[in-house]
Amino acid sequence: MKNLLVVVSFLLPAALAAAAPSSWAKTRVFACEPEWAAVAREIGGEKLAVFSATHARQDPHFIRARPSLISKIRKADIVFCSGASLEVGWLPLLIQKGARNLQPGKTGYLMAADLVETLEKPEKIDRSMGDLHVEGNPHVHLDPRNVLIVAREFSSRLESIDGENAAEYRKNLESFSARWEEAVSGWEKRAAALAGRSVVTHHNAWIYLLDWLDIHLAGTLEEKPGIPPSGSHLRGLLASVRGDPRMLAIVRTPFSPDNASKWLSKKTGIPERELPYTVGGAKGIDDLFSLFDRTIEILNGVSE
Amino acid sequence: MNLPSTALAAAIISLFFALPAFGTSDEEVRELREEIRTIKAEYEDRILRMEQRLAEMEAKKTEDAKVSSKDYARRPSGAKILNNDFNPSIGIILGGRYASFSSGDGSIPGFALDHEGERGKEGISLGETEFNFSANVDDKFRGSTTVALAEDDETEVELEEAYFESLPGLGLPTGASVKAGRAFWTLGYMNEHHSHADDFADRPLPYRVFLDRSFNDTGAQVSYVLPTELYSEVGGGIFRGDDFPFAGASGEDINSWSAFLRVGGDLGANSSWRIGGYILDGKAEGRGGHPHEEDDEEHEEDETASAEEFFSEGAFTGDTRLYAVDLRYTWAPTGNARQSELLFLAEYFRRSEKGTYFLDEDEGSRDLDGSAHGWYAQGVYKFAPSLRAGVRYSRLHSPKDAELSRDPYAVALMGDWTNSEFSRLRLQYNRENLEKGRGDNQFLIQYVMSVGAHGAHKY
Repeated sequence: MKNLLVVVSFLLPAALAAAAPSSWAKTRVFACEPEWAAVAREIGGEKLAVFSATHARQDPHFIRARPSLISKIRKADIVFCSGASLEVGWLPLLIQKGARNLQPGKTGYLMAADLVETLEKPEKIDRSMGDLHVEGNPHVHLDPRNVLIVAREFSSRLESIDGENAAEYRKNLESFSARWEEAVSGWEKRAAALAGRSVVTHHNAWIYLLDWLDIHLAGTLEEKPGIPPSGSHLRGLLASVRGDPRMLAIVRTPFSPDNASKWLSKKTGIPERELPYTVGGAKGIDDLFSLFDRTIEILNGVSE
Repeated sequence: MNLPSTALAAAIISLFFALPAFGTSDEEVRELREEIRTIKAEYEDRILRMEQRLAEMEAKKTEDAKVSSKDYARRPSGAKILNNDFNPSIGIILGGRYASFSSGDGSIPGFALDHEGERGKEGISLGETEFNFSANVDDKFRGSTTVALAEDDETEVELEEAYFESLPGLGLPTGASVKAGRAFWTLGYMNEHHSHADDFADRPLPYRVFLDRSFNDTGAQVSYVLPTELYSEVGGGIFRGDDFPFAGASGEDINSWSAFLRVGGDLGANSSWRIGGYILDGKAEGRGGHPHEEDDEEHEEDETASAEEFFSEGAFTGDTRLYAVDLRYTWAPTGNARQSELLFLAEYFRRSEKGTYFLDEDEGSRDLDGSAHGWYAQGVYKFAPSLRAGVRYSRLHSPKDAELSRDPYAVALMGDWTNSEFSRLRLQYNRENLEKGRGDNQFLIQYVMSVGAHGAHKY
């Protein structure tokens, strides 16, 4: 009896696997963050079933490998994430339950930070510096030029995974890339007046946006990434930014607490703003275009 | 070389050096001194020149290194080439605590506590110092080992885990995996987790009595995630049958097996759940048992031992089966679990056990039904990114044959401070009522520091 159970417990998985349908109607995309889900929708349109593991109010670093994510990755054809260790706490656990083609180095494993030049890559790293990533700052999507680089790679991966719809993916990419390039030059014009100004951010999430728009980062409310702001650090920051005429705003993500930015704003008179950060980060931000539109609109609004 | 010949050699050598000194003139001495000075000057000059060259070469080398590190930094991320990339990731967990107990007795009547299930040392003590090494072996396997140094009377080395598991590259059907070696096997919620990741400073009563804190026998386990929309996973394992609740496996047959089923999913965008059912079955041959000490013997002369004594102190031989059910529920009120989160966990264990308990030569063995059950429920709430508070209730139902008038229960209150993902300090108060008329107030202060590799955020 016991031996039978042992045999069954080994055979059951194989039997179930054989019974499972081998193909799905749509190509399934497992995006770790909403921005990559948005890129996938631009390129894949109706041909893809896109799932985002996180929503805009969640800090993508602090996610658990929860059951629903395991069942989603189990059936995914491509995993599309930021990389650079942003998802280090949970993605490796999930990937182990995914298909062979989802493993690092395969076509189904796409990490945005692997494709672009990352900023703030530390020369020396130590945990006393906070939760720094050896690979550099992972919030790469906030430079729209990176978005296009990543979208191109995503499209070529899709073409090899789902050859049947390759022509459509290529067509969508061309259309997206034309609209995007036009939008980027529009944003650059609109944001021209922001160049040379300074901001304080809660978490160092906007470095790519600031780098793109030539805005100076005066400091972060979190003294070290991933460690909540401390009183002594805030007082130091207050002394350094008070009265600085270049100061534009204090900004935070939808998932950051507002108390530190409100405090600094009250003390200095520098306006504080919540920027959408990603798709879904505010009402009406339902694609990448509106994400950058709104971000620049908010920054221009405080600059006037 | 033996001693006399060494002495002889030393004598000859000293004689050889000493001989020319006899009968030499002052002039010869001067000449010799002169020669030495010349040679010394010459050598000093050469050494100086060599040192200069060395300094020059080193300067050039750092310059070269600077150029290459710049190039290296310009590489796209993920394309770095360093030989130590192949080293396993290393994590070290440092743990320690201060404990104060109001009762001198920590035993749980009706249950035999093994070493790990005990309440631990009073006062300042080191907990476990864990070393974890893990890496992909190749494209098909991943290996991991965790060695714990536990401080008791002396430092004990415990091999907590040493296993390999299949990677999807092995070509098993998607969702299927195999794990073999020694590991914290899938059984209930907590068993799979290392105790440093627990939300309380100690394990709840059911874990202490039914699993001796954790089940990490040597064996193999398969699991399969079903291709359903709702997460569901089935699996099972076979084990040697040496770790508590089993013991004394001869190795002739596979003594122990397990099976499990888990389902789980999300409720809306901000909460998720998982429930599981588990069976662990096997044999025990002389499990536990504490031989009676001298003062006990006197007391036994005039009365026979109670059934409770057989359960608490006897060595068990027989069949044992454990059923477990767990429920995990998490809820992030604002959507962002970083900011605030409720973690709820409950587990129920039912042990069905039949066999004999051997107490000592005088009392011999007794056939007893050791079937018992127990459960616990705990809630932890994170009200700020670094602050959490929790409460836990655990209860045991002693074996009927033990004829105890009251069942053990315990309440725990916990508060902890988490500076980063890598450090945590915890304060805990326990009220344990393990026996009628014995209440134990416990205060615990605990620290957990993790150095090195980034831990996994398990559900």
